[in-house]
Amino acid sequence: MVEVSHRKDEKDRIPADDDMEFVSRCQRGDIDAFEVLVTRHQKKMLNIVYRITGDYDDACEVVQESFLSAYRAIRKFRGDAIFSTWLTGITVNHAKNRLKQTQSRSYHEVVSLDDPLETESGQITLDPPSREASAIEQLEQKEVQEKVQECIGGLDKDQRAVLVLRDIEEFSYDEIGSILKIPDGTVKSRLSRARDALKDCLKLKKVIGDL
Amino acid sequence: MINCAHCKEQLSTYLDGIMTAEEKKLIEEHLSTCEQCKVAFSELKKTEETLRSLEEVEPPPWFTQKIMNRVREEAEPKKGLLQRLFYPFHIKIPIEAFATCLVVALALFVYKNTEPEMKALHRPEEISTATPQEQAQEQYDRTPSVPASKELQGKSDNMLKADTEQQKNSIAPSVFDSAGAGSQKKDTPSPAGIPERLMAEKSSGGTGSMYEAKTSETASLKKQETMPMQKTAAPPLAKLKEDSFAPSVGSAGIRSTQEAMKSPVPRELKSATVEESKQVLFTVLTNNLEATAKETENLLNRFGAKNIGRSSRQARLITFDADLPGQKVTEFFNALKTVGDVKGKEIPARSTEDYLAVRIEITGSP
Repeated sequence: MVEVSHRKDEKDRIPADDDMEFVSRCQRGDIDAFEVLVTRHQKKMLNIVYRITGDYDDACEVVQESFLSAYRAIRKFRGDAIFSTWLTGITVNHAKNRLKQTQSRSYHEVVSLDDPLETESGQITLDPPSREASAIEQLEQKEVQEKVQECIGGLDKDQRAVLVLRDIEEFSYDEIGSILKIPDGTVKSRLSRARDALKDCLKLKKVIGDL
Repeated sequence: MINCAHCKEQLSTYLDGIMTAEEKKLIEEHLSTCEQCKVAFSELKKTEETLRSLEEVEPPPWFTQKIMNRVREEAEPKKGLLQRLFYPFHIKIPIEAFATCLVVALALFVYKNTEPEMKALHRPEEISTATPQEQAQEQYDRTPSVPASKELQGKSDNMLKADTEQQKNSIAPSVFDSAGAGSQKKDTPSPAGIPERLMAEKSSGGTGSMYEAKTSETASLKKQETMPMQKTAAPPLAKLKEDSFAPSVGSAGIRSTQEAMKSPVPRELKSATVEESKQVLFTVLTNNLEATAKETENLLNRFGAKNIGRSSRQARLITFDADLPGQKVTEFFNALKTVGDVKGKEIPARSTEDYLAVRIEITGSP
């Protein structure tokens, strides 16, 4: 089941230098070094994929495949970018591919926007009640989360990727540019359109009201 | 001054604070005057905040291990190459399909290759269906004295008996001479009568043909001999069989030709093989060895025995080998009791045409 933690608790970013040591050990055939990298990055990768695909199980699979791809390609990694950026690029590509598959699969399926989404919904109730949030607040929070995820799901896959990387994972424009291999200007414009579309969607769902 | 459209385009980057101080100033100026853009900006800000407030998901338990299992599997490809090829969860349809095709091809190949042998196995039967017919026809043509009809069977039997009686004196010793010469190492009588029997059969093929030569030159013999040569594909087994049944065509020629004419599938082949494997042994104890031997010989002649062979390799042992008509074996056995002290099992009377290989060992008491 999906466990949820507040992002405030986990703000520590791993320094790139640390990764490089393990990367070079990997390149010399040390599998245990790769395990360190997996341990470090799996959660971040999982969250990126989960937000892009909107499906937890799919996200787990995609992350596994992504790490496998990364391992296969690690000898080719020359340290032009930092490892996490390189890894994120692989992961986002896998996520987008998965999205392509699932979209073509569910093309004919009619889904109501009011249908409950199988996101982390159930887990909030399983969590021990937070001291500061009442049950109603929790429920509201849960609804908001669902609606936001729905709205992200309404974007096209390129917009999703840039939005998730910027507004959820807080990558810099430069990093996003090198992850998605697009120029800076494209990052800006794509992000701008994604935010506008999401804003409209959230307004429509009354997540953000008239201020 | 900038217009609303331009301002809205820049709001996203303004929110992230990545623009020059000049650009920033322009936007801020516009926002202070344009209520619509101000609202848009605050909505955008709220959207971004909402996204940032999204909770993170935790990886499932053992997630690292799951990933590493797959990585390690990938890292050691040599170790489990076969495993990977046929690993049930990684469907390798091409390999499996190829393997299936290979098996099918192999099966076809084996089938194609063994087919001639299968044919060869059938061949003796084919030969036997063809050759005795031909021989029968030939013999029938050449020996007008031999009656073909069933009514004259008795007569022909008599003639056969007479012939064999003539024959045995002149030919039988030579048979056993040759048998003895052929099996020098068997100076002592071997307990298993079969090999010797086979030899006798083979050499009696000679007698058969000699007998035939008397009546119908050597054409038939030549035919028999060339037969296996023509059928080159026939395996040694088939040859052996042919050899072994050839004499019976020769010596028991008249009878068997009639038989062959009656039924398309000749019985010689089967009966010959059966007889070879089953030899009936009678042991006679007597005081007067020579007299008993003579009486036994007479009895054998009386009961229509063929290929009578006499041998005496030990001082007090005379052995007779003969082919006796199946239905007369019991009678012969009873008759033999009058001659001496007989030991041997009662043999049930055989069906009409079968000849049974019989050995009588006459032992003289000291």
